[in-house]
Amino acid sequence: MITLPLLAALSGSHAAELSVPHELYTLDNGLTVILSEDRDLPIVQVNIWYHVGSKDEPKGRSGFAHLFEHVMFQGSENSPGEYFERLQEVGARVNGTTNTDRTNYFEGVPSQHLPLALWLEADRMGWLLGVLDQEKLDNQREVVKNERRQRYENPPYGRAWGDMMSGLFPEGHPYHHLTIGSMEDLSAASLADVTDWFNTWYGPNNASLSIVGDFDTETAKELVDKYFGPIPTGPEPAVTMADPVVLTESKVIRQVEEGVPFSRVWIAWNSPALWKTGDAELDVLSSALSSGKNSRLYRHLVHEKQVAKSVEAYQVSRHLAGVYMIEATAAKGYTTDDLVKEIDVVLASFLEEGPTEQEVANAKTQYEVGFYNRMKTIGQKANSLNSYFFYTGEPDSFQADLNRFLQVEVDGVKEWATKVLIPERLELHIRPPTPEEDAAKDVKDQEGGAQ
Amino acid sequence: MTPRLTLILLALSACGPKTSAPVDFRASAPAPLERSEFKLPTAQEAVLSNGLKVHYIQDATVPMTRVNVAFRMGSHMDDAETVGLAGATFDMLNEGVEGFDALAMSGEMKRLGASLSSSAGVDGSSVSLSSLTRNLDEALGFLTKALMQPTFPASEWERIQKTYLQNLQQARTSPRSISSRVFTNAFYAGEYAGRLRSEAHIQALNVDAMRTWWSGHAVVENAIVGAYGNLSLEEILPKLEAALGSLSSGSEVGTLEPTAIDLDQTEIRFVHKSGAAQSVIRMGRDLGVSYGDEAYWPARVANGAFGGMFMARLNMNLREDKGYTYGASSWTSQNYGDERWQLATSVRTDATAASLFEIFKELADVGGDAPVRPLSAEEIAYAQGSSVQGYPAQFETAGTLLSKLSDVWIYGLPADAVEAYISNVESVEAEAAQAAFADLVANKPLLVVVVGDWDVVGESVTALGYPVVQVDVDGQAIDASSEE
Repeated sequence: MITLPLLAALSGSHAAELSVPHELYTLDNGLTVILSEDRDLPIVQVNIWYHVGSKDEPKGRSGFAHLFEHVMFQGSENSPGEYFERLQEVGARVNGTTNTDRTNYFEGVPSQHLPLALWLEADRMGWLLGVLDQEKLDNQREVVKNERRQRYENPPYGRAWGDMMSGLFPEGHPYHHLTIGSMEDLSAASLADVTDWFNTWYGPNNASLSIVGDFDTETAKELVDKYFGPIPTGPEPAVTMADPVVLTESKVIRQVEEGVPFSRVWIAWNSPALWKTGDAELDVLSSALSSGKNSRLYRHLVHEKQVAKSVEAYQVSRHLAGVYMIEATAAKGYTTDDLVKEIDVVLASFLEEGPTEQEVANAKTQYEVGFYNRMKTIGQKANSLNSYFFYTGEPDSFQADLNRFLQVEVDGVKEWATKVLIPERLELHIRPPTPEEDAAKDVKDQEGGAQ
Repeated sequence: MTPRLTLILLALSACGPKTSAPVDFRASAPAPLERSEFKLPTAQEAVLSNGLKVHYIQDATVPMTRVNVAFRMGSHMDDAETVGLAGATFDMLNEGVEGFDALAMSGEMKRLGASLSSSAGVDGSSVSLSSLTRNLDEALGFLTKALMQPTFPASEWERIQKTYLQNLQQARTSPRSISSRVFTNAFYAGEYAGRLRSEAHIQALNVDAMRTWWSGHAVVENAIVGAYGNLSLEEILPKLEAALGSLSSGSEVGTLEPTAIDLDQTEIRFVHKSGAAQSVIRMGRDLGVSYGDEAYWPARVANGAFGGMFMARLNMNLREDKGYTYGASSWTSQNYGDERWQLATSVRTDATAASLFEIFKELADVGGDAPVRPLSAEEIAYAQGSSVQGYPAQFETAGTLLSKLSDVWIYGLPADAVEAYISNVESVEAEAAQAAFADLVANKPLLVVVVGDWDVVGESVTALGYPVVQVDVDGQAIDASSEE
């Protein structure tokens, strides 16, 4: 439970310190453990972060961190069936996710089944490889390829994100490729790669385990010791680094995509990494530009000029770098060049004036609310404790994180907008084919003949 | 032996060591700890001076308050001339109120750390306010205005109308939206008023009609309030009274029980999408039972084992065994009248016919006079355990209980429906579940929609032997002669 000790006495503009009481310790094998009791309901969350993501993939193996995540659900030596099997039976909610920086696994279980969840997580951390075979790998490779089709190939504009990452980050940069990877690299992944990846990255010393919910701390410690204690320490994990990058000249990519309903444009810049100076200022900038109907971009493009159907500005910040993005979809009858022109009108006046005091105050209020909303469930808390530990070394950084926003000032937003939203930027324009292009294609299809 | 006891024993024998502990503690799953008691959270009840019913849950987790006004109103009230009216009216509540235009209203919300949203569903709709508790009084003023003094400005409607037209165009390009639109349109055979909007419907809507509709229906008799936050009931009631106590009285709206398509045989409606990387498959039928009917819980529990979870037959076959898809599931959904059963998955293009074949095979295996592979007692117990033991986690945020309570009111369910869930699921016998699923789903014709590349998969899908009709993105038959 989040404690708000001073709440009743508050009359000022901000609430009491956010805090999630917890215990943090390290096992002899290097596993970090974070325990936080919250006994409102008879449920408990087990959340593990392995400090490896798609940024750590070698050349030719894009998508492997995520494929490996799937393999982790295919059983381990003492529980060789589907990972879900024993957990779903007791009503658990189970999943895992992979991004550029880390891979996480989590299960929310009825509290009496905490031993089951820890036994299973420990077994795949320590004894995964014995039951893995080519058939299982091949099957999950197909599942992941379907995930790629479902998320990136079949939906309109699905490929845009990948084009932007490769445009903003040079070949060889850890963020150059998407976490989902390429079909070619997924096809190339072998059983030997699985073994290597596991031995290199999945040691307890490269992971942190957070448990939040209805449990007794002493009992949990005994269980963690029993199941995770005997797992041998892995090699010292390598640290993937990247020098800051910035575009030195503008890039404009224009694409025609069949089946998209409207033209859409993305304008993107390299920006500061998560928790770095400027990161919070850019979030406040996004609030002023596109949060709510009277934000600057929305009001100008959607409400007044009506050249756009929608517009959004956002800072995506990760461990090694960030990306600042403005994304706009054209209203019927307008082109992406119309959108860019109007976006530039708004940006030019913002860079000139900076935000108003009210815009900055609104953004702070908005972030305060956002923090409350993301501290409501034990699953969110367990994941945040791990996330804060990974990025800052201190699991209970809720207030410190909020403070980053509360400390933002008008001048800082203007300064960082000027530093980041430079003329050298990436533009990706996607439009549907014109009726003439469609007609030409139909003729070509017929000439090609039906097989 | 009671059903509940059976379940616990099954769970123990599946999870725990049967006899003496094995030498290696790691070799088998650990026994559970002592079971903590689950007490369903309860909502406090109150009635405002105008008769408006309130459910309130005090939740001190964060200094926020949420007030949701649920209405037993929605697109079920639209008739052939006013398709889309309910939805548009609810959307417009947020586009201008007495003294504030849309932009000013949005600015005030942002300043207060609040948000106001309104949207209509088919059977029920809602207007919701969420706010920092310290700004609640001011924020509630906007909820009051949205409910009692909306202005329905014509200039905003003109803009929203354009957005609707563009959204419709967008929905016709996304394979998943297409499958859902075509399915819903065909399922209710164009008769149900909840049917989807066309350009002509959107063009026909106007703000005068919205104004009349809103003032005629948005009355105490059609509304119920669910709220939660860190204040006590005593603290919040006067605020709710001030904000909502003057909502006027009027007449209650009726309900509409939709008539689903009557199928003689399973049929496939195919929407061609050139170059599609996947095919979207969607199918379903009217279950023919509703809450309170004998087969209702057996059918729901059986669906859990058939397709309602990761470990269900459907996903194990299509994803984990064949690798055709990222996931496949089936579910039952509530509306006025009978429950609906649906199944959906996106499969790799070259496995479209094979996926359909496997789905029909799974259905055939549990159907017929002597099912080849009936849903077993173990599978049913597994599905029951999953639903029952997973139930407490649903109540982590107070919003879940409140939305379940408003559903109880909207659908006229028994007052103990939320509390009785666990015993309703546990009391299902395996044979009854298998029989209900066979009878209501597996042995019955299904409506199937496939969105994919016809040039690549048309032939193999047709070869499955079911009648196939090619339709456009709105569900209209492309070759008129092949319909009927």
